[in-house]
Amino acid sequence: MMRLSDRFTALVLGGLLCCAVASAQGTEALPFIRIDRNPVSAGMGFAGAASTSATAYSSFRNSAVIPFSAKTMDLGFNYQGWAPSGVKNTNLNFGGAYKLSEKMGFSIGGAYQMGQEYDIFDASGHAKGSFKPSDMVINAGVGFLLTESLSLGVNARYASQGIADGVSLSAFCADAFLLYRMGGVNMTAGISSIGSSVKGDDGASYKLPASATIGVDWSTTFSDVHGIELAADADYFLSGNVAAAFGAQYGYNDLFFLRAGLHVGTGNAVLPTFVTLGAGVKFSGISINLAYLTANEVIGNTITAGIGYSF
Amino acid sequence: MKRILFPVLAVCLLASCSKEPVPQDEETPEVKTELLSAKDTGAFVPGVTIVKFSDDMIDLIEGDLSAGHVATRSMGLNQALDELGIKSIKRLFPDAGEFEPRTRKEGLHKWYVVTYDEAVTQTRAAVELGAIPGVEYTEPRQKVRMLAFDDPSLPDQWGFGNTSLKGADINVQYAWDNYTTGDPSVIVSVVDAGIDMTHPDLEWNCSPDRSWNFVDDNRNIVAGSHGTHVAGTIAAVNNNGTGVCGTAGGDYALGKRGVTLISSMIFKTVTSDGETSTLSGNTSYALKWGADHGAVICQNSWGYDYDANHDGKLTGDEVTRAMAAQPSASDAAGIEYFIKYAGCDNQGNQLPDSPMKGGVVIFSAGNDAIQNGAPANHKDVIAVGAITKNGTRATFSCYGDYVSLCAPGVNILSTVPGATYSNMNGTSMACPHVSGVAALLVSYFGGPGFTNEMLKEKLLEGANRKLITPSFKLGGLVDVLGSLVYQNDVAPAAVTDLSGTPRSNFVDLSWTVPADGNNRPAYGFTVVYSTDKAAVDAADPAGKSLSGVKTLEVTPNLPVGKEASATLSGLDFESDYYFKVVAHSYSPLYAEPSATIKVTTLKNNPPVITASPSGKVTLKAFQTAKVSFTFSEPDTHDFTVTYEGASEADSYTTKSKTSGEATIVGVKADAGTYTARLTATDRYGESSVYDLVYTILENNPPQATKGIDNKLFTSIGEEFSINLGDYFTDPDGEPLTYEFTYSDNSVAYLNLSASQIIGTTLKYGLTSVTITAKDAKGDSASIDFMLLVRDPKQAYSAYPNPVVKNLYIATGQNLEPAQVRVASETGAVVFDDTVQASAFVPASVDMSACAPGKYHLTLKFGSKEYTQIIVKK
Repeated sequence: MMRLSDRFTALVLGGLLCCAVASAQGTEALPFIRIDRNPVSAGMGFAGAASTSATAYSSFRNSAVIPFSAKTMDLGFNYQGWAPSGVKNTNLNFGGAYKLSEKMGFSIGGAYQMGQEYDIFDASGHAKGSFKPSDMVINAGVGFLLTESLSLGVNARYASQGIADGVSLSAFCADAFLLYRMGGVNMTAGISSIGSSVKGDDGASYKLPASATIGVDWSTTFSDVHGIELAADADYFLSGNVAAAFGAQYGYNDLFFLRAGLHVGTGNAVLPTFVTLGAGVKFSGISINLAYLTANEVIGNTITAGIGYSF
Repeated sequence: MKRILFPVLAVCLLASCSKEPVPQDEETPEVKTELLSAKDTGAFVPGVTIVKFSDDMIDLIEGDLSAGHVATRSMGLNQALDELGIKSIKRLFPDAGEFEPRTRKEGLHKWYVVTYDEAVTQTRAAVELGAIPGVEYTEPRQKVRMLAFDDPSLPDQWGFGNTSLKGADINVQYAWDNYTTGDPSVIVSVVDAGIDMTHPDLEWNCSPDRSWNFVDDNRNIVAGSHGTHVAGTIAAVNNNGTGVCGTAGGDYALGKRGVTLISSMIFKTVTSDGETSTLSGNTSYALKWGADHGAVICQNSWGYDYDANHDGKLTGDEVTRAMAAQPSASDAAGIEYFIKYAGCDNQGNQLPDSPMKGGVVIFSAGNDAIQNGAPANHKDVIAVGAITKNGTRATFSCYGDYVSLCAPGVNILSTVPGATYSNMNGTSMACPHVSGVAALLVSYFGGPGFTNEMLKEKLLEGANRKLITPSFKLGGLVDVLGSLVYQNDVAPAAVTDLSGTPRSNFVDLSWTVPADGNNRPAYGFTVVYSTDKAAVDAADPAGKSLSGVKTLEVTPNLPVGKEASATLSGLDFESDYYFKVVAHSYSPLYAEPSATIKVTTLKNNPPVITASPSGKVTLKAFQTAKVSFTFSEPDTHDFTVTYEGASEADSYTTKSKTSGEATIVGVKADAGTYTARLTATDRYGESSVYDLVYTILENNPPQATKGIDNKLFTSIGEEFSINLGDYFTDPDGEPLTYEFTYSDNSVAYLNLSASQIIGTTLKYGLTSVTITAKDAKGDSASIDFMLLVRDPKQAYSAYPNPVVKNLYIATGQNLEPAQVRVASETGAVVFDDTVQASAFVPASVDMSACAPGKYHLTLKFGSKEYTQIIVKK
């Protein structure tokens, strides 16, 4: 039998023929574990790994800051409208740190992400319903003061993501940091999100977005009412990408705060380049903070609004 | 349909006859009555008793009764009639006018019909009437019925010429041609239902003036199917270009009327309250009527009814009674009167214008398939049984020693009222054949001195007894010619001009038909032949001396002087044969033989095969070729045709004995040249051969001339059509057949109509369609296309989702650039490029390297941008 075009055999079997196949770049699994849940640092370009001024969410990043915190306990809860122009997640985050002694503290935190419902299509493009994904992150950390100016913090994390009916991804990972304080400068270095990998339906393993992280934070107060804090972080990811974050905060009378930041990601770093703005107010231990992420087409317009309490 | 008219009485009696003279002493009644079982009552007419008075009684009361009075000078009679609730008392045989003297001489004036209240039992009536001094005899009136079945059958008057069994008919054709077709001076009284005397096939031979209605006692003849059918068998007008023939129906074209029919009507069909019933009349008087009105033949297709419970068959006591049945005394009186006085004056002398002295009464034997039938079993009556066209006794026919003759009685076609015709079965149908033959014989032999006994002798002795098995107990088969030549046969003259012509191993003989002494043609011829001249010369058919010769009997039924012929077949080829012909009469009486002639037969010739078209046949693989063959045999011998096929492609069908057709179906065999063979062989082995050579050309498969564009639809219920002839062709020019398959028949409904696909979208989705065109050989070509029905709100499609490897992105109908960006949920752009895509040729993004999770797709094509969540799993 003579056939006009055998290429249609492929169409019958699996769907339409593509005119060309282009490959997407590789990514790391469960990238949402690198989202900054802290509404303070979220306004500072996601910089602040070495900041000791707001430790409620330190279980998400660096618990080595807890021993140097001026607060005995720092609690926080926030709402995060993530990537309203993209995946449209609604994140509910919470965290807390408690300093048991001058030398030791611990932290816990968690996040629940409600994803946007998406339409399911089979291999022939036939609609097959929809699914609403959801994610979850649970952390716990502990910080020890090793010397007067050096601390160690370790976090353990469990993250899972339900992406389709009966398909759930999960992984364990950990952070480990050293923090050294010298005068008004905090310097930290460690590893972030080092942990297990995730397997896809195709059988391939995908690593978590682990990185080697360094950070520096400097803060000062002048004229008794004006406070400045500057922070910078850098990550070198196992994927080869590099990311850097820069943030600044101005505080007035430790009551009102304005923040700004820049995050730069190279290549297809898990977090791309964007700009953030933030503001906050604190009174009698209660703080309210807002952060706005912009200058990115995918995750732009992300808003983080949180409330915290510390003493 | 027959129906008994009156309700069944509880008790009936059959009166017996007392032969003692009526005593003068009125105190001593001699009349006896005999009670019968209650089952007998259904056989008699209620409220009617037939009475025979003594001479003295008649003298006393006749004047009063003839004046129409019910009260008479007989006090005993008056008293009895009062007690019975008398309605009427009338003569059974009314005043016969000029024939009254002989009527009285025979005592028929003493028979009366007494009609009284039907509530009075016949037992009581018999007792009351029998007790009257001067009453010699009483009897209940028998119910009578027509002896016919009304089963329709093929219109075929086989009784006049039987092709199923030669000779099993009344042998009338030769008589019509050479003796008579009937004479109007011969009158047949048809005692039956009324004859339709206006029937175009009967009217010419009917005499309404001599007819009488014995049911209503007037001249108004009411046409009945049975009587009209019977009449048609006797004397339907012959040679008038209409309907059927009658046995003695005359010759209309020659202006010769047939015998005259008069209707003595004893049956009348009436309809009341939607039910049809048959009234019966005075049978005794009807029997007598014909004799007083010129008839010499009395035709009776009726008999007594013993089916008391009216279930259509005789069972139990009904059979017993039927087997013991005898003619009633009154009917017997009528029968005997007819026989004695038909054609005669009051003194019993033949009337000068009558064709016969005395009458012949013919009755049907009955349809109860038993060995009795009344009144047919009257000793002076000719009883007629029925045969089938195969010469066997009809299953219904009565039989026995009382049956004198038989005649055709199954599927008899004859006239019925309304100028129409139908088939009927029964001894009723056989009987008029005999009456017709009797009338025909009287027509020929009738005249002064011809008597009823002479007629009976000719009928009975001339009957054909060779065909009818004696065990049938039906007598002989009535035979017109046999009766005509009985004691009256004459040998024909010799054949004088015998000549012969050879034709292969046939010899065609011809000669002139000679006359007999009465100038009638010879009835038959015996052809004697052999290769031995001496044996032929010595052969003598009359003396049954036929040693060393073969014979052939020929009955051409040709007039004198016409050329008769015979063909001798199966002779040896190229041999000398000797022939002579001996003419003979029917009985047979033989003439002197003709001179012996010699004829030399010829050689055998083979059959001839003619093909159309002739010569080699060439056809394409898809074609079918037909070649017709005709066969002829120059010698007219039988021949057979055999066919040897060459491949699966050719076959042969016999169309007739002399034609056939070969069919070559190209698709059934591979390309190549084949030779099939047709052979015609005559019975002597001489044969002809025709080689049918045919070539089947190589097949060229069909071709797809162009592709079918993919179809994008944006609504449900949208109809479309594709003319497949625009996309396929066949180099051989043969018509193609199409079929299709599709991957998802829920997306659209497709239907093939000739070379067009007609479709309707059913739901959103994608299906691939494969159209295959096939030629007769099975070679094919296919075209695939996609059929996509997309929600109009969905400008593109990105699938599968979730994706494992390749993400396909389908856009619009036409291929166009589309900007695709895929980013992780945290904003990492993993793909950002411009690709070419359409609804049917989608772009594909390999997401193998991407970790499972949520991604964000941004798609820009045309002037719009679209986003969607993509999940990699």
